[in-house]
Amino acid sequence: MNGFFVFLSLCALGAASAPVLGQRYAHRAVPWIGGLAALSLLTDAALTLRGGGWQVALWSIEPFGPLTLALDRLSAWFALAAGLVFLPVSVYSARYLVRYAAHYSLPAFVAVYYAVLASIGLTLVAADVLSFLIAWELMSVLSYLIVNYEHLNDTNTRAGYVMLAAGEAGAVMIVLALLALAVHAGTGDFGALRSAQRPSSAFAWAVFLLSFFGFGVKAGLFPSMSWLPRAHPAAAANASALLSGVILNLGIYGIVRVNGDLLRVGAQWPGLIVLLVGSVSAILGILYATTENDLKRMLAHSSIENMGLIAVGIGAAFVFTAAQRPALAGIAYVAALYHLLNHSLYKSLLFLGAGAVDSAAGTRDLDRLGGLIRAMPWTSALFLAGALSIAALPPFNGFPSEWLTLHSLLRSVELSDLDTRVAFAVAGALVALTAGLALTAFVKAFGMCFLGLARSDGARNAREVAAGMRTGMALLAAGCLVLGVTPSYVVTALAPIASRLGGAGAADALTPSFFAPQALPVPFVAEFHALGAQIGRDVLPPPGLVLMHRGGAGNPVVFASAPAYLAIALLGLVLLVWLLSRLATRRRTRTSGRAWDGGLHRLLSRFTYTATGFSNPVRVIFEAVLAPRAPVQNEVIVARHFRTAINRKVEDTYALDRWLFAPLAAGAGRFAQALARMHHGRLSAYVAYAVVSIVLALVLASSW
Amino acid sequence: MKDGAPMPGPADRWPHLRLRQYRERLALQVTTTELPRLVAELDRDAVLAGLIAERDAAGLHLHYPFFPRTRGAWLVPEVEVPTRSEMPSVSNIVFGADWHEREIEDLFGVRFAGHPLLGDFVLHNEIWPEAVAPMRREFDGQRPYARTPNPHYEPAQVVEAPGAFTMTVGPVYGGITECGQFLLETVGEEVIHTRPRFFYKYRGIEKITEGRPAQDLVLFAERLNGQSACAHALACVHALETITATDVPPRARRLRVLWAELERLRSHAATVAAIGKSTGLSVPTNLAYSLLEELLRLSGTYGGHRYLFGLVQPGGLTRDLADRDAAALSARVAQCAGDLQRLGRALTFDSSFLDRLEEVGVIEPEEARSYGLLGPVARASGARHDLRVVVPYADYADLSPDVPTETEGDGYARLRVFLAEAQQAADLVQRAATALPAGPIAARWVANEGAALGWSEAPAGAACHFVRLDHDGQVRRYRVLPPAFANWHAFHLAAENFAFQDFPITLASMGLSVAESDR
Amino acid sequence: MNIWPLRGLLTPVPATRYPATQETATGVTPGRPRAASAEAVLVCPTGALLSEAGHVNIDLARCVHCFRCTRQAAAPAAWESDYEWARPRGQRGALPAAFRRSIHVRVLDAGDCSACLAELLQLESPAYSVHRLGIYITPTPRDADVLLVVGPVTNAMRAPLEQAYAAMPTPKRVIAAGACAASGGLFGPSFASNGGAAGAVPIDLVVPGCPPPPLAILHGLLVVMGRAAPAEAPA
Repeated sequence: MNGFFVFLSLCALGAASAPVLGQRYAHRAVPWIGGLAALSLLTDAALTLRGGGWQVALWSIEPFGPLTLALDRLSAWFALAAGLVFLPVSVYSARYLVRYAAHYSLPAFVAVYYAVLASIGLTLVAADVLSFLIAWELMSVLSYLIVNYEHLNDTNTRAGYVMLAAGEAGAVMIVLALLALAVHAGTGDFGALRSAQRPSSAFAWAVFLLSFFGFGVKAGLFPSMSWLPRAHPAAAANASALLSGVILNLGIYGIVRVNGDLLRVGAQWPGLIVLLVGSVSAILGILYATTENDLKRMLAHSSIENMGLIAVGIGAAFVFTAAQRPALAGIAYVAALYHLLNHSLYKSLLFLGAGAVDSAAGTRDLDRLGGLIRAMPWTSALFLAGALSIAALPPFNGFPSEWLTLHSLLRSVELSDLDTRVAFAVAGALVALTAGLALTAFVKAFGMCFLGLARSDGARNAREVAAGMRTGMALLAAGCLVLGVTPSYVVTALAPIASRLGGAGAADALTPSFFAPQALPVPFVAEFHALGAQIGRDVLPPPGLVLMHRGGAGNPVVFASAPAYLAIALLGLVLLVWLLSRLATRRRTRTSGRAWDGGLHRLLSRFTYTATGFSNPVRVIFEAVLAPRAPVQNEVIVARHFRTAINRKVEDTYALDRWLFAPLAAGAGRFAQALARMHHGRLSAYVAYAVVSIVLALVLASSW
Repeated sequence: MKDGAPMPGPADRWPHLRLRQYRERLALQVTTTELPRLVAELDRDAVLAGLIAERDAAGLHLHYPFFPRTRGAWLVPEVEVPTRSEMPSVSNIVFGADWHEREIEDLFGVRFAGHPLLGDFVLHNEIWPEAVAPMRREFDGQRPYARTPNPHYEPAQVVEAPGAFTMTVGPVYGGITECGQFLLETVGEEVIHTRPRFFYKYRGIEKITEGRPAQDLVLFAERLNGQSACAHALACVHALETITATDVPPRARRLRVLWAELERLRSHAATVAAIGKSTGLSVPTNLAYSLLEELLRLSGTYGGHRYLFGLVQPGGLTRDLADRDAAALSARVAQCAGDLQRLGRALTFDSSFLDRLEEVGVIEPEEARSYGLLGPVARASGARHDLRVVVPYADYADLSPDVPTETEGDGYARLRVFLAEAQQAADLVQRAATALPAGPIAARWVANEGAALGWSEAPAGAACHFVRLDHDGQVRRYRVLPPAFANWHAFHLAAENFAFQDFPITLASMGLSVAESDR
Repeated sequence: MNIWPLRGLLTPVPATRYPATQETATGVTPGRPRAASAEAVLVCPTGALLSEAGHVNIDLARCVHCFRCTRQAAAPAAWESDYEWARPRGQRGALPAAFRRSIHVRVLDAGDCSACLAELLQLESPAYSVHRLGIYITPTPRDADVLLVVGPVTNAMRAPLEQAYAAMPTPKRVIAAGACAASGGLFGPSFASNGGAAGAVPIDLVVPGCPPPPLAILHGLLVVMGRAAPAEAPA
């Protein structure tokens, strides 16, 4: 608890000191104050995960009861993710914010930044309905302020506004859900809600739908995800990292807290809805990411995809919980929460990298970048680490979490209900397709941005960014590597949370503690010897370096994964190949010359592939889903046959926006216009309105 | 000269123009202001073969030879352009004149007013400075020309779209292909715009033949395009024989038909093989190449050279073919033609092969007409003209072939036309070989002064050669209007708006030669 | 069901046995002049026949197969119907022994009239089938051991030719196939072409002919691989 208090105080200190430090020094203090705040949050979270946790009751408000703050293991996990992002982003911010010094107020940004950190912390520790809602609204408004920082740009203002509007629409649903729960239990305290009597099925469904779709807006799930690709690119890179890496998680936090903890889902259908919504979000997100050329928009779409994957894991967990399979539910929760932490890290890394590219090259358009690896080798290497992580390639952290997600989907064969199995099969297929497209999307992002020839002057003149920015990114990349190589330790940390939510020892099933073999049958342990589970037994702390799970009676196989060994093997192979090639070419001369380009006079960058060209096949294949508008082509024709210019414009927007939200917004606008006719300025009519409403109120009050 | 029956006589049709009747053509002398209208009028029922430019003391002399669409005579408007005066462009009236005007601008330095795209055509801007005009009299064609390359050259870009880029094919590409550059502008799958960039193989034949003895012209004509050596040699000697009014003996005229048709069969077999190679079907490709080798060996055995080099001379042929050899040759040719037809029929049963050709690389009939396309490519898009029928030469007046036509204009239509013409060619070889007239194989030919137009229907289309000889029998001007030049002009129609995976197949289905076009 | 495998198996195609035995079919080569008279020297358009001290030298690299020397009524040239014409140039000789059984060839068209290219295409056909000898045509000079140049090297193709040669890894050899690449042929040095590949890239082997028949080119490739002996006098 002390750690959290220190965290809040440091945030307050930072926000208060920002105007004092002024335009020249405000941003330079961010790594120190923000870093210390992050460390204190991390300390508190780590202590809680190890077996701590605290609760504090503040003053009481009728009829909601006392305002309570508590940090339990679930909140601590989210706080851990938040702290692991805050620290590198704060280190990065010092040099990054310099570019805004000319036009905008740096103290304002810094103050809002600390306030956002504090509000995120408060949302996670809120342990009753009222404090949660207060913290939630605070966090929404503050994130709007940080998105709208570059207010001189109209696009950014619109983006922020759309985000706020969507957030508030979601908030309405959240308020309804939480108030309903509070009314049912009689008080707002989460502990009381948890232990209240189970309500009727219809009530539970209403709470589930309201809370899922309400929090789903904040998490960027289908169908209300179109604010994300607008808002995240509009923010500064460090703010985008916060938005994608931490604030999206809060949506998932809300879903898990309400439907996994406070009012645990009882039937299978809610879980299947979550599963299907998650998989549709994933596939749509990655499709738009693959065909998007703006680097930050592409990362925003990819966040939608990852949130979808997390929702898939959560949905599977809900289904397994309702089907009384606690071990499987545990695995699914572990997969989802692990993916959540991983996503926070690698998405922040990618956004910080995009910010570095934007600062150095002056553009975010992949069609105008290229060849940056020569001038910016560090940024390229760190961005590559992020890209490998998000594409779920070992030895980085995307691999174990995606493996576990797919694994938990595959385990659905052990269920008996046919509808459920079909839904899982569909979700599994969509997730698999998503994984392939994610690889395409990030090959395109890395390749078009860093490799090849520079396609614009900005890219040609780029220089490597400052050490502070590189350090921030390096911290995140190191985190990605460490989390990828030690999955069994992460799983052990998640095990208590999973047990609490799903109800049984998932961790024991996933990482056999060979240091306590009496808990497991001897032949079982012996099987694992062949898979290397015993390696490092005397040196490493339990539970070992191999992730394994044994199937059930109807499915007697062992699923195992050892990213640590894989990383060592990869390193060894690379070294071996390097050695062999040095030996083999010892006595050869080396010449370097021009690349063969078919005898061209000069190889220009416009002869090389652009990002649009690279992703065109995906655009063409998925045309029915993407439903882009047909290109508008203008030709300049001189003298009947000679075409001297062909001009082509294509506009891509979310099909869902065009078909659903735009008509809805237009309808709401017309309705508002109609209502506005009430405001015609005639005093006599206004008095009449007042009289009519008073009469109505009296009539209603007397008849009730 | 034969006149088309329903048309009024030329003197009645153009009473205000000065007409001059030559042995093989009617020249209509006009001024630069009258030229566009006359050209527009002629374009309705004749085809522009190209532009012929000659420099003399007065200035530039331009000829615009038109051949009729149905049986008739050559009509050639002629214009004198005094030095340093302007010449109007007729490219927006007859689009086929476009590339010819660009070539003349590059080589002679004449500006065609109203043409929007002059420059960087024959003499590439990256290695030649502006305004060199090598076809000037004073320019020495025999010595290398010292030049410095231009490091800043960039080809123009026509498509402006986000993410548009240019795929360059060439100048060196593929395994065994001719060199030339294709700039395909695209945003991904579909080629939006393309411009072929040729004249990487420009050998300057029209310049280096000036001043050489007339007998050497045939050697150059043969090597314009080695695979249509006989056809180009025939067009060249046709012009030479018209200058001296030499009568070619009947046996030679008949054998010329035999060799020309053998070459046509061989050329079309090569095109079918190239189409098969581009689609990746290795069995029919290899069968077609074996067939081609057989035909080459027959040409070598009976004609002395696999590509019939050194066979045609002014006045006749250089070697005779005995009657029984002719019979043996025609029997083997009939077998080969039968094999080719069977191969073609088998290809039409392969639906994956047809998928690559049907509705791919389409050239619409109106476009074919407005670009002035020639040869089998034009006939696959609805045209009916064939020089063997409309202005017969050698023995084609007696051995008149049918002209197969299709209307779709896609790759499959072109393949069908090639196969039909190949069969026609084999039948003509048969007919030419039976009843060969007796007599000498060549008449005596001595050069004298004069100028004439010679033509032949090469496997790729109408080839015209214009020759002007000096009083001492040397070449003063040699102008070649190859069929591939006109057809490459329209190539972009077949390549645009199709995926670039279709590009190599469209390229093969046109069956065009770059060497002939570049000269 | 695809008809082609069956059709291919059932259609016999005569293939040459060269280099195991000499090819005896007619029409595989245009032949070459073996000896010529003084009158023939006057009619040769490219100067392939030169009078020297009462003796006529034949520079086969210049012969364009116009056959004029065979039509001299007084003393027609003696004609030889062979095809092994490749002659070495320069000091590098054949490729090292590692390349005896397999080479990759990059064919570069530098202004050829397309007759030489057509003969090269025939090399890959079943009639000659160079793959059985380990010779492969490659589209990239980065993988090539031999650069086979055809055409008189026009101005525009000179730079691409030099770039292709520079892009090839060592050891590499250059073959100039055809009269145009060997000596400029009929087109000679002029304002538009270089008069052959000499001067642009170092030539290791010359295969004369206009065009050289496939067997002559094959002989040249075998000489570069070290599996065949070149023709007598170096050019």
